[in-house]
Order: sequence, then structure tokens, then C-alpha cells
Amino acid sequence: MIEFTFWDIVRNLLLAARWTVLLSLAAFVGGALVGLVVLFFRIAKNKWSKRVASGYIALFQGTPLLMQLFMMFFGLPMLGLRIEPWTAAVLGLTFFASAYLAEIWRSGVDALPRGQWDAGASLGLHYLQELRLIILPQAFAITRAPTVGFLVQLIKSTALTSIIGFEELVRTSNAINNATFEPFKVYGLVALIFFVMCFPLTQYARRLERAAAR
Amino acid sequence: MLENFSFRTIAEYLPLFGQGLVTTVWLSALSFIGALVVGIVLCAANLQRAWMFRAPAKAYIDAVRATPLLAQLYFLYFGLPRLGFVLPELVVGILALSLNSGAYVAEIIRAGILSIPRGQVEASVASGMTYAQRMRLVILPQAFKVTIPPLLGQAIVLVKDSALLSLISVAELTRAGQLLASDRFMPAEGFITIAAFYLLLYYGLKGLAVLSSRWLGTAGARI
Repeated sequence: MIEFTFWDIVRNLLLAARWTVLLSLAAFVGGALVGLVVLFFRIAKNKWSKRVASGYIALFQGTPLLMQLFMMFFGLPMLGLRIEPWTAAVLGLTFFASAYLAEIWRSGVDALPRGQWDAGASLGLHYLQELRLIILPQAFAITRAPTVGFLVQLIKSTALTSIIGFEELVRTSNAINNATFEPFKVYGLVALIFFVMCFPLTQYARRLERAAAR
Repeated sequence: MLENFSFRTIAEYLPLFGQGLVTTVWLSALSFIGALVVGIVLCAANLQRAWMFRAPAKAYIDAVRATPLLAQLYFLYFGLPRLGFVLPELVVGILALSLNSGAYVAEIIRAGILSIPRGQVEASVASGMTYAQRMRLVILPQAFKVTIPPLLGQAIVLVKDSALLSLISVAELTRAGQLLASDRFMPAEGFITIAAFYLLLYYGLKGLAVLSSRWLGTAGARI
């Protein structure tokens, strides 16, 4: 049996935390890109486009992320796709993030006064130009606090990918806990590492919120 | 996969899904009640002027909100037996969900109370009310109105979070889907069925949130 000193535990956890950070970033970037597409369909004037986008958002907001990850990891191979834990993790979290981000940004688009669209039209801008130059920059600006808030939620959600075998912080901690039988030390440290990643972001989101309320 | 999607197998497993759904509903309901109790206590402590009440409540809320539920669940599940508390999985699960959601509930209630304009407090002080009267007659009735829709939003989160209890082998809805997926090697049938049940709960609670905000006259509030 291997003996773990306190520093062995910390070092292994910190090494695993790199994957948590990387996965969070990949899912946030991927989710933002897919989320923009969903947003585009969600705010279109076409009734069906709106319905499909709303259905997509409800599907990912209304079911547990754990189930979505299972669906990716066990379901996609049945379609003949080769899926590994990291692809299932990135894909699953990307779709999950896209639904939430699209909904957050949609609330920003809805909050803008109608006159912004009219002003754009009166300047002779077409729909895409209006979106790109007038609507989206403002929608992003007023939804910055909930966007940062969601990033925190996303970082915490990466913990679930341990279940489908992605070697991040929680999966590594399970292995260490099984070897050391020191759950308080191991999971306490895991919680501490997550706290160090998430707490500054929650404080930042709170500050943005307060600034917006003023 | 989709060409031989087996509705028959789903029908065969339907009693299991039914039990899972019922378990998910009542354990979420119990956890929500627990979360309300935890949340009210935390919020009351957090709104005190005395540092010795406020600081621990704030630390607890921040710690819970900045760490994943899964880590909290494992912390309790593996940690409690070491302290000599050997509890059934279900109890550990409900405890973890209540303690986790309680921190969010505390923040929702606090936001509700702080949304009452300062002038209301001043007016009630001016008319000679005590702190308790002020809370009971002026602040809480109004705060109650604005907190109901976001509390129902938290209930939605709680129902989805309860899926994590399948990992400590509580026989709820996700566990039923996993059983079908692994017994018959039919992940599509298993997980699409539980997705449908979760969506049912989601739309039910969301509908309730929309209705409640209409009844309470807080339409347009964020859910």
C-alpha cells in the first residue's frame, strides 16, 4: 500500500484541478458559441424557430445534467459514434451551457427598448447588422452579472463529469479517499479548491449586480 | 438505436419508473421543507447586526454556494460514518440537499426582505412599531410576495439536483433509468423516459411559478 502524505494529497488534487479548469473553459467557450446560435433562433420572428429554440432550452434546463451526461456517454455510442469520457464531458457541458447562456442573453435582448431596433432600422442597417452593432453589445453588457454567475455554476457542474470517468478534481479525490480513508481531509480540500476558483467570481458577479442596480 | 427503440421494454419497466418518480417527488419535497427551515434560520442570522450571528451565516452561505453539491454529498456520505453517524443513504441525501439548497433559499429570502423600500421601515418605526411588529405586519407580508416565484425556481433546481442521489444508490428516477440502461443495455430507452418525467415536473413547477406570480401581482418577476 502506498502512503499518502498531506502534500501528496494536495499535489495530486492540484494536478487534477487543471482538468477542471480546462473543462470549464472549453465548455464555456463552446457553450457561448452554440448559445449564440440558439439565441439567434430564439429571438427570430419566425414562430417555429422560436418554438424549437424554446424546446431546446427547456430540454437542457428542465432535466438533470447528470442525465444529460449519461445520455451523451451511453447514448451516442449506440449511434455508432466513438465516445470517450472527455468528449462526452465537453459535449454534454457545452450543450448544457448553451441553453443557459442563450436564455440569459435573451433576457438581455428583451430588456432593450423597442426604440433601439427602430433606430437601427432607420439608419438603414439590416437585421444582422442591427444585432451585431446595436442589440447584442448592449444585451451582453446588461447580462454580465448573470453570465458570470452561470460560469460559477458551470465550474461546479464539471464535478459531475467524474461520474462518466473524466479525470477531474472529484474523480481524483474519490481515488485518494479510497486509498487514505480520510474523507474530511480529502473532500474538504476539494471543496477548498473549488471555493478558491468560484468565490472570487461570485464576488465579482455580486459587484456587477450592485453596479447595475445603481 | 432509434430503429429498434423498444416501447415495450419501457412499458415493462413502467412500475419501476413510477416508483422512481414518486420517490423523487417526495424526497425533493422533504428536502425543500428542510431547505426552507435552514434558509430561514440562516437568513435571520445573516440580517442580525451582531457580528457573531452574521459572520458564521455568511461564511456558510458563501462556502456552500462556491462548492459543488457532489463534493458536499460525498463529504457527508463518506464523512458522517467516520464520526459514528451511520445513516441510511436516503437520509444522507435529503440532509445534503436541504443543507445545500438552504444556502440559496437564505439568499432568496434576504433579497426579498431587502427589496422592501427603506421608507417602509422608517414609516413603521415612526408609527411606533417594535422590531417584531414591523417584521410581522410590514416587511414579511410584502417580502413573501416577491420570494415565492424565485423559491419555486429553487424547487426546480432541487428536483434536478436530486438526481445526484442516484449516485449513493437511492432508488429515485435517475436510478430507475440507469437500471433499465444497464440491465437491458438500452440507454436510449432508459434516459429518454426519465427525461420525459423530469420535463413533466419542470413544466409543472414552472407553470406554478408563473401562476403564483400572476396571483401575487408580481408578474414579470424573474423566476
